[in-house]
Amino acid sequence: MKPDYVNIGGRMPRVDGIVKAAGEAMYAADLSLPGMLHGRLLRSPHPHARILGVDTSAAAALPDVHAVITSRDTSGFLAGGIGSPGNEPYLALDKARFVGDAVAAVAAVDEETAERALELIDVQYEVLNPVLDPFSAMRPGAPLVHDDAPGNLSFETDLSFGDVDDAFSTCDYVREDEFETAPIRHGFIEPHAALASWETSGRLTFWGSKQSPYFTYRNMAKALGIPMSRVRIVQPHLGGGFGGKNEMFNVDFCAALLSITTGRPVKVVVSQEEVLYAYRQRHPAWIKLKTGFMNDGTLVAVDADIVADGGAYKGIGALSLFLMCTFLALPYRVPHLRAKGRRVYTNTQPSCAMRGHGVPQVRYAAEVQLDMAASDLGLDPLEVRIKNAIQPGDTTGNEFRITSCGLTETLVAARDTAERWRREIPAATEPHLKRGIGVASYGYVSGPRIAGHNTSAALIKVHEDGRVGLATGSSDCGQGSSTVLSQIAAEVLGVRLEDVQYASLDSEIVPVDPGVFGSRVTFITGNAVKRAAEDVRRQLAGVAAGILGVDPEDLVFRDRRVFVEGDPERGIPFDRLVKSAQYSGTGMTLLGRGYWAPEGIDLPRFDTGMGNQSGAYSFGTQVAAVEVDTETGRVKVLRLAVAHDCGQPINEMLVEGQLEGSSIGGVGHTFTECIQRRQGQTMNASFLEYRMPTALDACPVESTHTDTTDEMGPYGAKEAGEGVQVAIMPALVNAVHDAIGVWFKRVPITPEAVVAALRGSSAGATPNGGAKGGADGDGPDEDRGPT
Amino acid sequence: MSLPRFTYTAATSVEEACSLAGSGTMFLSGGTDLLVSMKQRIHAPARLVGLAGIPELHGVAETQAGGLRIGAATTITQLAEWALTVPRWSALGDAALKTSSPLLRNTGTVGGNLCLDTRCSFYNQPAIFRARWGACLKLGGDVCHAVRRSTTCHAVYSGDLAGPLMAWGATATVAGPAGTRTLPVEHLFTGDGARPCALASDEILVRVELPQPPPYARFSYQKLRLRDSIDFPLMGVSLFAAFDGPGAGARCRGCRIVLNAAGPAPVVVHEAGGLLDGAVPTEELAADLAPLLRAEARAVGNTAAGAGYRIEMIEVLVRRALRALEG
Amino acid sequence: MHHARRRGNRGHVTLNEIILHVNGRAYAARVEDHWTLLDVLRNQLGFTGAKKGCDQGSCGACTVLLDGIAVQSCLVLAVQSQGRSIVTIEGLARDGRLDPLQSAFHEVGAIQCGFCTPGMILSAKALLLRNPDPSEDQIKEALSGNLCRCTGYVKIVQAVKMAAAERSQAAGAAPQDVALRADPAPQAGSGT
Repeated sequence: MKPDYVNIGGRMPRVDGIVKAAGEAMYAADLSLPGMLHGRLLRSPHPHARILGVDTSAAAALPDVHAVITSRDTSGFLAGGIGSPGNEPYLALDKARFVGDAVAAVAAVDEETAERALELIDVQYEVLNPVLDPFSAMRPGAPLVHDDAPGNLSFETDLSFGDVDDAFSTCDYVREDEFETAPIRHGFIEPHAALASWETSGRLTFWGSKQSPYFTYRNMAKALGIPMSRVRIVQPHLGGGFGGKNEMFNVDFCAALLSITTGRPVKVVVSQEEVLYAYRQRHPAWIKLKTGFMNDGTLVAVDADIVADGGAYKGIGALSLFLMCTFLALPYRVPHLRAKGRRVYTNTQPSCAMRGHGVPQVRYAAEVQLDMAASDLGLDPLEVRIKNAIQPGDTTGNEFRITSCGLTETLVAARDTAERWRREIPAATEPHLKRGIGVASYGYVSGPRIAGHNTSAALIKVHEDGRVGLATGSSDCGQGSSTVLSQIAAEVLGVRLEDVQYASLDSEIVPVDPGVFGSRVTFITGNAVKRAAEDVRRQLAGVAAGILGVDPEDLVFRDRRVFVEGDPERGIPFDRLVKSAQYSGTGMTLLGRGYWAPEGIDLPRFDTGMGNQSGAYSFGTQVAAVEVDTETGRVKVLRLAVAHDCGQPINEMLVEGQLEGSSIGGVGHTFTECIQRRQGQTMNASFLEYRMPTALDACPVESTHTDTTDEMGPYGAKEAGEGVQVAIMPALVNAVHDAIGVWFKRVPITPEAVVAALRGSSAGATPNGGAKGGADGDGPDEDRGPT
Repeated sequence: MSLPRFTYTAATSVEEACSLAGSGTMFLSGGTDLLVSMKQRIHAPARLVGLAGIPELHGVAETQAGGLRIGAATTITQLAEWALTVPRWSALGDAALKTSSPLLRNTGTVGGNLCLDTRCSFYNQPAIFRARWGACLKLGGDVCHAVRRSTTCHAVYSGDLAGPLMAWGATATVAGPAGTRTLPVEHLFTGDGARPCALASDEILVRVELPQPPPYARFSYQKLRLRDSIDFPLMGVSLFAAFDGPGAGARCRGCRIVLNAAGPAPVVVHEAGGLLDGAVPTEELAADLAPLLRAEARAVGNTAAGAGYRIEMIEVLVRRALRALEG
Repeated sequence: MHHARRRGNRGHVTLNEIILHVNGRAYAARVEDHWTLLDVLRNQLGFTGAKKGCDQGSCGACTVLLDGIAVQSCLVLAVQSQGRSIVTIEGLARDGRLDPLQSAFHEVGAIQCGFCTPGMILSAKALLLRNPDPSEDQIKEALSGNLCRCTGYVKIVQAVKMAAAERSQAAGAAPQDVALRADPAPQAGSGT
């Protein structure tokens, strides 16, 4: 039986819901300061060009322009890099490396003046031949994006355990396929925005749309050459991140440097158009996958060769490839695995983390291939998954230590769902409509360790009226962490959720935090909050014990009261206790402190892919029902269901919201979303032409969770919502196969691809141009380079 | 990106609007397309003349002759809401609802959609695109980015309303300095992707008028798109037919079929309409009609879907239109 | 309806003084002809609840009500908005109480990052003003110009349904809330 929680597990509205509903929530672009200037960035129109000179004199002479900066005004700091030095300047130094790379920035009294000033900046470019796809980039003699990266190789990893070659020879059945995923967008609606204010004393205050504010804290100090403690990051509300707002960007840096240069606050807000052509994307990947099974469906060996387009810079891309390889070890028992990953530079937008971070690409390949194999072997793909499902207590060949694991339960639940749907969903009424059901599974981390510092921390201050102030270094980008963390504090202190006030992050006093990535906040920051609340509870228990004449250990904090266990009448209201504490002796100050990171988590070994990455792993199975219009090739998603193991959900309603949003996002990734490029130019830099799902694409999303509790997670909780985006694409692709009998080895599955496949032709089946052919478009002029 | 600076004048009469026309002046109706292209610096007129304040351009009403008169500044939502309440026009309302998104229909106008600038993947781009690729034919340059060595512009007429209105046999009333003239809606289009609209720069579209539908008329507009909202058409087929009686088994007595989003202008495919005359519409006829429509299509690779796919879908759209007309 | 325009000068720039009626109050604003309603609401009048998402009419984050109709304020000129009633998200609450739509969005979990929320709520408001009892399909259709990346729309649709149900339960719905048309139930292929 689960414990009788008050604030854990229910359906509680978010703590920031009312300010957001009322339109009062302030996002970075909403802020302004007296004397504030507006900044804009000048971007390279060329994918690859040497910068011979930048003449800013005419722009600087324009009335109401306060400053024009180029890389000459910077220290040349290079951002990015995990496990190796970064190579991305905030303003291009010698070369522009993709269309949209920032070359200069302007601060003026208003945005219009800044935009006019940009037109007056004269940049002399020597246009260089670009490399536009990873396969031509790796060819001998290809132009180099970075001189110190021969073959344009950005990162290589080679994971291997077991004896793969030998294992294949023992298999009854081996198949090899090539899969391809398209470059796609995070799709947040709030564009990047930054406001910086420099004080002559040497302190910078910064408000930005940052998902991981401490990334910016560290990089800002390094890039500006000032002590970290002089960088004050204040976090406003954040309009979505999905991995695309983790890193510090040129917009952030330029706001700061322009403020230093002008002595005025400077705000830089980029347009959504710029977000779409000049910022990050999910790594497109080409995955050669070979898998061996026994006739009974037992999975024996996996061999993968992954090439990912990293775009122009390193960023955090090493981790993306590392995760692509290591997560081939989940969620099934794989005795023999080899995964070779190469990240390749091209003259296109840099690739980075995006919801599921690398894992959606490889699991798409592996989960579809599993269905293909099951089909050949005459087995039910769901039974094959159940047969091979990883179990509690397992350790994978690359040393993931699996503790709590409800994968099998999710598969059984998915089987029930699929069976029910087959009864409930009638056959399509019209002959050109075909319906099908597919499943796919995933395993995901609850906070991978990517660098030495993996600890999150929390501070609690108890107000005199009994309300509880809580601050952590983890920002809420919409996922609901401020609510979940407040629930944890409320539960420990026996107050109600509405008694907890979640403070906005301010790096001047709020403890450092690694960042909001890898589904770490509930699991890691949640434990820190629990400890901070326990710290306060201990202090209060001491006072209460004195008043009630009992041992502090015998006290219960519940329903805004503190009372003796087994004798609820003998107690004291929480607010009275706080006041008593505050006025006892010379006055007590109730501050709680807590920090936590899972012990024994390895640092990533980027070369070998070995090591336990997380204190807990989440699991789940996605079920999808689709209807394919075989005439137009369009696919309608009828229903989705997620059976998942997120441990003990802290907030059912928020977990559902995560699953729904993640799933419907995946519908877009599978069918309509793809960055189109010609000659390195992003051709669909608008929400009109980059097609994210609308409300008409929403479908019911059923969710069930397993009866799992994680021993390490706060109140037994693990990751929810990111992992599910790993399984949605393959579940949909498998459902499309169930409907029309075609396997799609490229996503998105465009209507053209469906129609072509049904006709038995491969034409049109390539959404993003088939980079292996060397072209990046299918238009009539793909070989004509504009000059 | 801010809008480029311009002077705005709200015209209060058709005469005033026409008198303000001139070099560097553009008319602003709903603005849902023009303002976006101005933000992208595709257009930078010195003056915008607003048409929304001209009372004459507003309103949807049946004429005494039993036809329908639609003011050019009527929003697409207004047209749809009105038409859906009147059974004999409700199919036109359905067609209007296939335009873009509800938000854009609330601002976008019937006249604006008819006079919509043609679109092309290489034209509807921010300024940074042109900084590298240079101006195309449509912008006064000498290259076509969509079709190599083409000397004509292949931008696609992507309005949704022209097809249905042409199929219903609508006329357009246009006002200019010399007075008004009335022409078939199809004559609003030049067929030139670079200058798609046949109106003179000092002329404005005042209204469109649909004739009284013959008895037992049926209509269907089939739109190809990738999402059911926001998207422009990638291909469209409008089919309007009068019948000799109600219900299934009735024969066509006069039929107009229009192809839109297939090239620089919407086209009435007369031959296809003729082929249907006297026939009982069945899906099977699509195979005969489609080649006639395909022959009129001018699709190239400059939209969100490939030209081959769009052409291939013509038959599907025709089939669906026929099915809708089966009664 | 046009208010007298007083022309002033800021260098070579012409500013017009216009009156905008926002959330039931008249505001004098000095604007240039080419400024959008969105920019004036945000930068001049402080109504930052209207969000700039795409600035091209494809996301709906800047949705406001103009004479009761939901429009994207990034595609409307401020000078065109004179004499019209403008409602932003800040104008929905009455006497310190949230509109039922705002409460429903909060209570059912229809808000995540919140950036699309003001526009989404105003599109829903416009729908309920015209159709107090919409079907699920009508709700999806009415919101299909407002993009949301966080929620997958599931709980948003649920919130609108809940708010509509609350309205219909509430006694004495205001007369202006009566639907302009009951249930259009469009039928393809229907002609004369």
